[in-house]
Amino acid sequence: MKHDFTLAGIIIVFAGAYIAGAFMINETKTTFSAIGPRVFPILIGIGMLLSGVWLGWQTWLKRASGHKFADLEEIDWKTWGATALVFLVYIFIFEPVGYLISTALFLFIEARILGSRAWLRDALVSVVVSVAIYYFFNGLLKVGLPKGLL
Amino acid sequence: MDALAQMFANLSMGFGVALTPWHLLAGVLGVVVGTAIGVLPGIGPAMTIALLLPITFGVKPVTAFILFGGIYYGAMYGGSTTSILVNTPGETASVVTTLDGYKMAKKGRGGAALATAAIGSFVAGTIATLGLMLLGTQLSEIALSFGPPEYFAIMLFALTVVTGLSGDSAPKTAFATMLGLGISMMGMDLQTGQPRYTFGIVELLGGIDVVTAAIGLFAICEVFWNAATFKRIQEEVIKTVGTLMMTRDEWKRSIFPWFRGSCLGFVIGVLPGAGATVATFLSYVMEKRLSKTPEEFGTGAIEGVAGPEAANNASCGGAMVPLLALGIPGSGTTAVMLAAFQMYGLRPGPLMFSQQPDLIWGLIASLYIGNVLLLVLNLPLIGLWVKMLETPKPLLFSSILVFSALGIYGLSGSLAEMLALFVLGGMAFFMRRHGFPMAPVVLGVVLGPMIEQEFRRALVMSVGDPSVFFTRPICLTILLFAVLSLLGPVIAQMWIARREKTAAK
Repeated sequence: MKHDFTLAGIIIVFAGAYIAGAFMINETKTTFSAIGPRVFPILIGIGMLLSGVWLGWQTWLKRASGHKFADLEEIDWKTWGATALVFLVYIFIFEPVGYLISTALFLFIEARILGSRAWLRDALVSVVVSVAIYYFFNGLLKVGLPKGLL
Repeated sequence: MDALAQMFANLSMGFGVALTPWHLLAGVLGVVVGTAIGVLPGIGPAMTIALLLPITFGVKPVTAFILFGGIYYGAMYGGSTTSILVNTPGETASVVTTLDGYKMAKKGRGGAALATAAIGSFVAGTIATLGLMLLGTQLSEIALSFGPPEYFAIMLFALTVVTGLSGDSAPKTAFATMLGLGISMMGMDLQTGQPRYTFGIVELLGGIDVVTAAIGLFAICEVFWNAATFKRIQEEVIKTVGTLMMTRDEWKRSIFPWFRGSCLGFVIGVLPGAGATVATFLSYVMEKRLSKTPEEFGTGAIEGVAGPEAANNASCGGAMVPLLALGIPGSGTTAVMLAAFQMYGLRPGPLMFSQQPDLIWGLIASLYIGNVLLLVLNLPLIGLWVKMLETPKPLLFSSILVFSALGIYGLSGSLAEMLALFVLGGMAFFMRRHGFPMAPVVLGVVLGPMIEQEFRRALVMSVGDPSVFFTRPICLTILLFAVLSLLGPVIAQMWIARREKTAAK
């Protein structure tokens, strides 16, 4: 795929950061296990580094043999962005506004973002599903959901 | 003979467990839900079980696993329906079925395709569950002599197999696995109490929860992906299926692929890390090679449906072998199931076979039952499943996001965890965009703490001597296999490339 070379570079940098992070872990002298808390993270960091190098090498070989790199899939950034944003907002208003209202609102708005045009049906389903899930979580699983503004 | 008698005794006990009304209900629910999500493209068994992980708090382990097992098997049944009728795989494992299944449907033999898929799945499910029973008990016996070095080696093997079998994207799969391991290191080190990668944030001391990772990487990522790549073009849905009866010729052509697919699928499933997708591809290739009419493949060869469909069902049973007997996941979905075991504080493996036989054998028995139920459910109710395809996607995907958020909230009650969910989902989305697979990340997150623990234990055992990994025969053998599984495909690729070069000259 395109950008694989850049990706390899990013991976190598990330691996470096990960290994650096491993060295920031405190190793006290009182550890009785032969392996301190740094060992495994360092090994993993090395693994990441190797995979990055591998990717770079593979991409380089492909380039050299004239391999045609696949384009990345077309992304509808507007829809994705809206979805991500609305989901984030949902997470933040969940507790203060309460489960029922936020969920019903979210379902309705998100369905609209994803392309639905059936207002009434969606509004009804949003409320019904929210209430149904409420009983499922509250009644069956005994999990409390925030009341919020209700 | 004594062992066989013991096995039948255990199985009878298992049926006793599985046939209680409550468990039977769980089983039925599992296979119905499984088929439904199998039919719906974009939703898979791994995601569904991940979303259901939070319910484990209110439900007993036996019940939960009967449910999950049903979902796992059911999804493989359901996936074939959309592949055959809509040319859209319901599961990644069902991609291969679209090749010939849809073509058969267009020729008017859709019913036969569905029938061969369902019956093949039944044969496979039965064979695989049988295999699970036999191999599982054998393996758990052998595993009783396993120590930390062996467990470490097997887990390493699981990770190398995943990478080795991923073909062209091996380095990306390798990184995905490493990333998963890396994420699992976050939090407080249990052995020494030292914080790792917490950046001074208190909430991170507990690390990233496996459930959050599973749901973020499977569910959130999937919805984000759908939001970003919503295909406006609808494939033609083949509504009239024709008769479900297969002709004698079709029966004859299906039988051997069923058995071959089952055996191949089971073996691939047993390999830790390799799952349904690999099994179906290999089955398709095998059937094409063995066929007297290979040119028919791609235009509606029934073997191309019979074999792979059997393979994907068998691989589920196979994947449960390492999970139950060793505690090591055999596929992405079983990795999530392992997370479920962890949430219950259970450690699957040889000890579970001896200490919690009702769980193991109840599950096995319910798989037999579920298999029969699935055969009964799938053929007559085809119309119903096709109707399901008309579920409005926008509402469906929105609901998945809600369910995800609620599940995490239910488990943790914390905004921070929900944010972690969002971040993980977003990260996974970008990774997916660039060709990184998700399942190995989850595998890494689930296995990470376990591998490190076994590694440390092994070295404590040997008082710091690293040669312990190389002096124990079983451990050494497994490690060699691990290296082989990683280098083998790479070398094979280079060798093939060299042959092609010399052939072209």
